[in-house]
Amino acid sequence: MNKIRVMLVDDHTILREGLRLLLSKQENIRIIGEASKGEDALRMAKELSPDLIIMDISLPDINGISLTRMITQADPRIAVLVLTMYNEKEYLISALKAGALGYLIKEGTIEEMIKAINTVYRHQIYIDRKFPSSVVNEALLRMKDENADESDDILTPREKDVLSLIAEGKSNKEIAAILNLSAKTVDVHRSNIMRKMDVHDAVSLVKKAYQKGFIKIK
Amino acid sequence: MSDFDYKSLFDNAGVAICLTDNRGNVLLANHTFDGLFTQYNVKNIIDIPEEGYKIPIMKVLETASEGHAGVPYPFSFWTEIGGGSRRKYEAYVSRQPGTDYFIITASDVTRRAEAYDELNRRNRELTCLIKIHQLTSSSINLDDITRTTIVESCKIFDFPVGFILMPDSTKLLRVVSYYSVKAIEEGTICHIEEILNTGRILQWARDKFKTIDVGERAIQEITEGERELLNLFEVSSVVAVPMVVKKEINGFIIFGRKDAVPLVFDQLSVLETLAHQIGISINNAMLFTASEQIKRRIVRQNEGLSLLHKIGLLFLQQTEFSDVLKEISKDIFRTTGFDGLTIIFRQGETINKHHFFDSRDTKDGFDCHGNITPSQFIEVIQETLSGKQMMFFEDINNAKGLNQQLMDSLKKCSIHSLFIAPIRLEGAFNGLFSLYTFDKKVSPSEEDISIFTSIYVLIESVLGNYEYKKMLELRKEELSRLSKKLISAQEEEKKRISKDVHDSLGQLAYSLNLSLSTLSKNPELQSSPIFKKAQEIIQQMQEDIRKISYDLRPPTLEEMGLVSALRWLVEHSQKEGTKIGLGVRLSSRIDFPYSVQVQIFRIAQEAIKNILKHSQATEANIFLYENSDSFYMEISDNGRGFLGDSSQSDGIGLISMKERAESIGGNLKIVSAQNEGTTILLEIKK
Repeated sequence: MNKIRVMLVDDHTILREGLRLLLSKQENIRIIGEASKGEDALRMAKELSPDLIIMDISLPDINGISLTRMITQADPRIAVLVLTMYNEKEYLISALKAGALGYLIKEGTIEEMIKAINTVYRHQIYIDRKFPSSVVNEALLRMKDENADESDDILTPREKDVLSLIAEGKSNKEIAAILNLSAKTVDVHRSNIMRKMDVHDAVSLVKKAYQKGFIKIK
Repeated sequence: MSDFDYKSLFDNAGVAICLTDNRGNVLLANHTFDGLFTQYNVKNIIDIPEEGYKIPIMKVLETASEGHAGVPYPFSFWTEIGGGSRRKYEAYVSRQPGTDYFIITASDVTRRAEAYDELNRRNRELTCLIKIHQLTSSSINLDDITRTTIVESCKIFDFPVGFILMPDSTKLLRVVSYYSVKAIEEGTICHIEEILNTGRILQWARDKFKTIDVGERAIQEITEGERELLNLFEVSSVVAVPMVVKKEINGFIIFGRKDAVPLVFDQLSVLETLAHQIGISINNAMLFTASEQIKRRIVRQNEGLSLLHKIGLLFLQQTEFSDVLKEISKDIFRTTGFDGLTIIFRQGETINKHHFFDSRDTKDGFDCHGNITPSQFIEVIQETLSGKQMMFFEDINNAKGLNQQLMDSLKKCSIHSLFIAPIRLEGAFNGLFSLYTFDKKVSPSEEDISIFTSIYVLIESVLGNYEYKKMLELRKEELSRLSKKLISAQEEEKKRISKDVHDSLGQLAYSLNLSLSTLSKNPELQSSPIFKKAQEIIQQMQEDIRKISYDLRPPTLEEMGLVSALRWLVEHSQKEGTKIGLGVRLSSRIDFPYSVQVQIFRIAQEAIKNILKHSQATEANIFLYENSDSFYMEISDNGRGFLGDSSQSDGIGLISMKERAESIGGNLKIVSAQNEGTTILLEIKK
């Protein structure tokens, strides 16, 4: 049986020692290298081409997510298992997007880690069990979609009301009457909308609003 | 001619006399012979019956004007005297030199010579009066008028000596002009003034000064009290003629006469007219001079005002103090002839010096060659001024009360005229304003001095303000620098602590956790409640470590940037009843450094905290967007808002948001109205 050749990337010596001790008891795992800095990790990954890297996110030079991206892009055969203190969805998604196959929070047991190592080694995804399934689903969904990160809707509900009335060709005065606002307030909204949409006249404003789908053609 | 008083000249003639124009219209005739020249218009009545035909006066006048001006041309005429009888008159006519006027004198046959003499005398007098009139109406120079009139009148009346006297400000008489056939020795004039001011003339002048009536014949022959005058000029009598203008005596003309025969009434009349004429002219000239002075003063004051206005504006526009002074000095040099302006003032322990020159480039100011320091300078000047508002030395070489050391120092710099005034800052004598010339004398007018006074008072107050403001600004800058430093130092410190807690403690806890989990395979331990408790404690510890760490350092911010961090913030700030959204429209990744991103994040964190705590909003949004000029973060809610009163919201929170914004070069605007929600807009210029 081939041993899984594992490289440890973590700047905490105690942790590395602990892991080395615990993992070395596993028959199918062999620790072939350790790095405490991103720079060293990059070099060693290239030299040793390990099967799997256990990767911390907080590193003194390059952060573990960027490092994951660099390593997996250079050599897709290397499986990366992120092992971090962070239990945030954002890190999970970023790590997956960067090419990590596994994500473990530094809270779990050694059993879970061994399970994760074995899964990731087979190039399958392993996500820490502490994440609720909704988060895991969202993460798996979003890791494929580069652009669905966040809404690009930057208008307040009130501004959207004003914008759609502008698109209907209503004057400030009419809009004010409809929305029960003062004409001055409508004017303030109008100039705020223009600033947000980065346009300088009403025609480009309406055009852009349609393009961005803020208003629908009836 | 209208303001020329011929009438009184004619009134007392012994024969009939009239003045006509060149068409024979009678302009003036004496009262005595009214019947002759006005009852019968000279234009019509003149005829020569012996010759059998009438010659119109025009013909006579034509003939007369063909001859030399002033030469009497004889003719005769008859007039009806009632009852069919007629009287023959012998008459003379002559054209007044330099004019188109004719004087006609007439008498009965027996007094033919008298009429001839009368005409000649009138001609002479009138010529003099006209000359003086012409002169006085064409000149406004007081010296010219007085000199010419006294010389001309002495010549015409054949007086060997004459003086024009006018009262000075102390109402003592002063000789303003004189004429003498004999040379007047030095000191004589003063002597004359003494005599006149102690004698009857002055007394008389004082008595009459305000009450004289033009109708009164205010002529005084001096024959006794001022006898010394007679001796001085070897004259037989003296006549004093008051110059009466608007019923007030504004001076005297005093003539010395060869004979002591009292003047006849009409001679006095001529002199009086002359004096009146001169009086009016002098008056006019004085008025003119005064008005010119006033005009000059107004012009100067206007210049001064516009200068002050300019200074005010410059200061308002926050122009650098020394630039303002440079502008001022240019104007002062141009209008007053000063060459240099130096301002020295003490601010705490610092001595500030500003000097500006246009005629010499002495660089160090007017104390350049002296062995006197600016600080000593201030002391010395303070001593010299000894509480005075200002001092002016026309010539420092002859200046009294100037410190010797200072004077030597000034002399070395070739300073000639010097104006100094104190500058009082914070109530104490703390500097000086000085203007000076090199090697030349200037005499600033009262207006100039008053302008300088205004300028240095203005400078004083501006300087006070300016220095105060400068100090304040420095303090503010210092404070803001410290505050920025503090804000970023805080974040640095938090980051460090967070790393310590999170990374070291957290890792240790995890190592421990892993070890425990290995041990948990041991069945003995598995059943041990202490072991279980230990595992729980480790879990709790890790939870706490994470929480503390996140408080100290926004998660994901450093590794994944602002948007991620804000998403985390939004997700972890959800509260029942308030929906928080995040909208991002950025064309590229935000590449602000961590120190900036962390402040933006903190602002959002504070804003969201406020919204959840105070606003009662049902919806809130964080928007990130940009345009070509700026990056924006907008946090708005639909809550109850607040009206200016930030205590309703978290006042300190608002201030700290603003401070954070400033610390990263951003601008934070908070717009809120009652029940209209609140919008916080952070703008960072690209």
